[in-house]
Amino acid sequence: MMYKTIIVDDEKGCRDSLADLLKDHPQITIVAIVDSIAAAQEAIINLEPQLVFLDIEMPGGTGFELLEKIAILNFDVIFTTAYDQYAIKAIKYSALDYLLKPIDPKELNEAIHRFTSKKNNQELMNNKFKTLLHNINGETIHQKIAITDGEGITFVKIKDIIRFQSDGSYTHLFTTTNAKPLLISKPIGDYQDMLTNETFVRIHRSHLINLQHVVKYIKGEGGFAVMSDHSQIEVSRRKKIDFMEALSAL
Amino acid sequence: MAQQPAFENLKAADNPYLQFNDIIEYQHKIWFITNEGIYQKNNNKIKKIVANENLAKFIKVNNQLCAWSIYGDFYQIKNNQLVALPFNQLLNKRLTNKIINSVIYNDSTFWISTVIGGGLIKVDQKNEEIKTITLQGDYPYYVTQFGQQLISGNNANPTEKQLAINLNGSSYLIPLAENINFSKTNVLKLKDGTFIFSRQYEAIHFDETKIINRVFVEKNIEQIFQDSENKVWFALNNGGAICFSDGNFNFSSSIRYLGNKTVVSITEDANKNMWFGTSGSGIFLLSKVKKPEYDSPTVFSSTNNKIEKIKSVAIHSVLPILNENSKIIRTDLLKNDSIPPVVFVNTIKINGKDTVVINYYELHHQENNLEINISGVSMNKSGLQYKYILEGKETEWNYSTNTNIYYTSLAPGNYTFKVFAMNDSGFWSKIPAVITFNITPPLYTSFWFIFSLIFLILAIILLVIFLVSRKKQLRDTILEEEKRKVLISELHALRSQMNPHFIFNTLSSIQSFITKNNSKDAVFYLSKFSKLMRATLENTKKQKVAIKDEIEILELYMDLEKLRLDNKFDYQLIIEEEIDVQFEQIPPMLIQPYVENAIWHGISHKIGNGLIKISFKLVNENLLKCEVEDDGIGRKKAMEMNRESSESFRKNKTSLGMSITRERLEIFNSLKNSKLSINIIDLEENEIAIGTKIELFIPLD
Repeated sequence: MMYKTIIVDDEKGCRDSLADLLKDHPQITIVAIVDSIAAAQEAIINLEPQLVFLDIEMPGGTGFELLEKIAILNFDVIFTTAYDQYAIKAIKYSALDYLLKPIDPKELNEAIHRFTSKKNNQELMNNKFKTLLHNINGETIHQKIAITDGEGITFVKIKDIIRFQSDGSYTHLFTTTNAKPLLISKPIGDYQDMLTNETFVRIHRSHLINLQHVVKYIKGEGGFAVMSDHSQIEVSRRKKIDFMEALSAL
Repeated sequence: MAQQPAFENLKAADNPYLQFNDIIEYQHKIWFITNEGIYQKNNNKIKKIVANENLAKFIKVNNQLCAWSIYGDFYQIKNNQLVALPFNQLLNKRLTNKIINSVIYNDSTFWISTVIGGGLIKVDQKNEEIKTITLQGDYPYYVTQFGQQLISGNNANPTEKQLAINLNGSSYLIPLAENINFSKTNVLKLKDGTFIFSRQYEAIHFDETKIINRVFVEKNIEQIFQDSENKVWFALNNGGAICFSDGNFNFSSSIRYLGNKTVVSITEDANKNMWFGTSGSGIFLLSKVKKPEYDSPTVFSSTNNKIEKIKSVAIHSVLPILNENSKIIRTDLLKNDSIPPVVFVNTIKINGKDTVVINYYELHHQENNLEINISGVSMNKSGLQYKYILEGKETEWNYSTNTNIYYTSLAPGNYTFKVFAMNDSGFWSKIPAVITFNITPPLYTSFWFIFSLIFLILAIILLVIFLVSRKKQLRDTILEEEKRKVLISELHALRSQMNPHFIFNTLSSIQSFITKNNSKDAVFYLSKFSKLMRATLENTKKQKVAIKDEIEILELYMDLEKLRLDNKFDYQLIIEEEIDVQFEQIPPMLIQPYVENAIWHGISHKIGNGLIKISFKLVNENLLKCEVEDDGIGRKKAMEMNRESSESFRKNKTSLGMSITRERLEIFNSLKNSKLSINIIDLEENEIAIGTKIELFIPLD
């Protein structure tokens, strides 16, 4: 199968090096290499690509703005960026893919593999983009995070997350909106990394909790955090100070 | 009680503090005897007429105004001059060392009584004859007229508390509260023919045969005066004046004037104005035009018989008792009420509140206002007098007919109230009524109060000390926190110093791939380099990173160093399975400098390939041990080689790296109060150096 691909980047070096690296991937057919949002918009409408490598920081506007301008998002996007923590976070939350520049050929391989192997339906794609734009434009507390459970991808508001509990390589997610916890097929550390700048603290080997949902602290060797769903979560003795510091910094 | 009337106060312009010994109205003028001489009122001013310091009283002799001195000088006041009377010189001789108490002039005769010795002296003006009349005893105290007879009193027997009434031969005795000794007395004949004798604070009302009643006032009586309305006035030393509405001397209807001024003399002028001469306060004039209201005299009666009531007012000391025929019986004829009265305390009010009378009162320090009501039982109910004392406050007995006794604002202490009653015949009750009061001192003078006060003060001092030290501690904490922040920023600064030689030499290694057209390797190492740079950049922001992040950096770093040294070494990473590398956190960039040291001091000088082993082990659940082991040339040799190339920039580079690491360890330890420690072990085999091992002990917290 051939995938019509467009590269969008304002820097010539980046465009050339990515195009060079993509020569090793015969299923990727580059149909256009453009250097601005306006040109990209035109190319996407005219060429109907399946994949777009989209640089985030460009003089004429960000890559996200391009997505806002296009009515029907029936293609996949791999963002490229040199250094933009905020944007990367938003992309991660939305379960979209990205590559850091300079691009590691290994990582490019993996990204293309993910792209070719997954079956994105139209609705899911739209949801992902919607979430991305929501996270980029919206206030932090309303941001959503994509959760991949057995049934697919669910978007959960960060403020509705009470806690994560690890179960081997799986993770249970407890939220205010779902009566039953969601079972996620990712280790708890992935969410710790992802939510590291939010109000989440790994208070225990098995627990990552949202400080916003802590209603009470019960003293003890490490103690227990009582959450808004009345669950009592053990605080590891070594994490007690971190937990108290984070709590007081709220 | 009547309203206090408005007085007019007059003072002499030349001496406002005169003592006014006597006042008289003569030829429509008011005259005064003062301690400086004779004064006269003139247009509301008191002016001196003639000086003489010893004059005592005025006396009218055939309508001529005369005055006498206590030493026996008699003068006529004529044209503002004192003209000695003809017998003056003779009289003076007879009165040497005697003091005159009172003088009567009647029918061309002066009757002079003395305080000390001398008896009663008669001066016949017509015959110019002076005689001493010896009475019973030697010391007359007063002399006065009673009808055509003279009456005088003396202390017939000085050891007895008795007054002898002499009526030209016949006499009777009046018991007194105290010995008379040599003191000034007053005697006044009232308009109803009875007499009042006063001495100190005791006044006795009597007639030719008996005592009618007896009155005690609280201050010495200076003079007794009866006005035209038959009211009897007592001038009191330091007690103002008392006006009794009649001769019954009923205190409940008496009126007091002039506070506690010393009133020495009282008189009434033709306009019925009352004049009061004081000692030191001038003259007070009580105008009768503004008539003071008097309380109506109490009518003494136990029946409804109208006639009886009238009689009881008119006749003194008549106890009206109806007999079978409804006639009045004169009980005053009963002589010598020889049964002593019984005295008791009726009520005791404390701070105005009535109490049940008991013998001993334990009182709070604020319960210090006492009102004691006393009464006595006697054959003749009306004539009881009392003497009482509050031991602990008073040292002298009080004499009074008052049955309500007040003590206000008593200081804390023990008090004993004693009261005796005396009937008209002078018999005192055998046993006093005794009440003891103990007023406890207020709490603030008690031991416990002072003790708790001291305790409280100590507690406050301790609290202040505590607060001050706490504040200091707080300040110290803030300082500590600031120090901490400085240290953290220092830590950041030190950590961000990734060796520049590494950066640029790595870039030049990559450059060599490009020049050799080996683009694949160039891209491969460039990716690693950019990842290392990114990780370094990100970790710099954090105080701690997961072990896996640190391991990733070490791997990237060693891969790139391998490139630089053309694969001169290999490395092994050994991580114990028990370690949750994602969960456990350590300070970032802590291990990298030791790896750098191992590569450049151990391996780079080595002939042949080297191996670096990095291992992570748990000593216990709170302590991580990280070992960096190389099989290089060892520290000793490395130091020698450094010395040989002392000028080389490599030496500077390496020492910089190590010193940074040492500093970071210290800062980290002081920051976290943790025990990050390091062991450097020189690996030897048969005394030949075979490498170096670094042991880093990293607390997990």
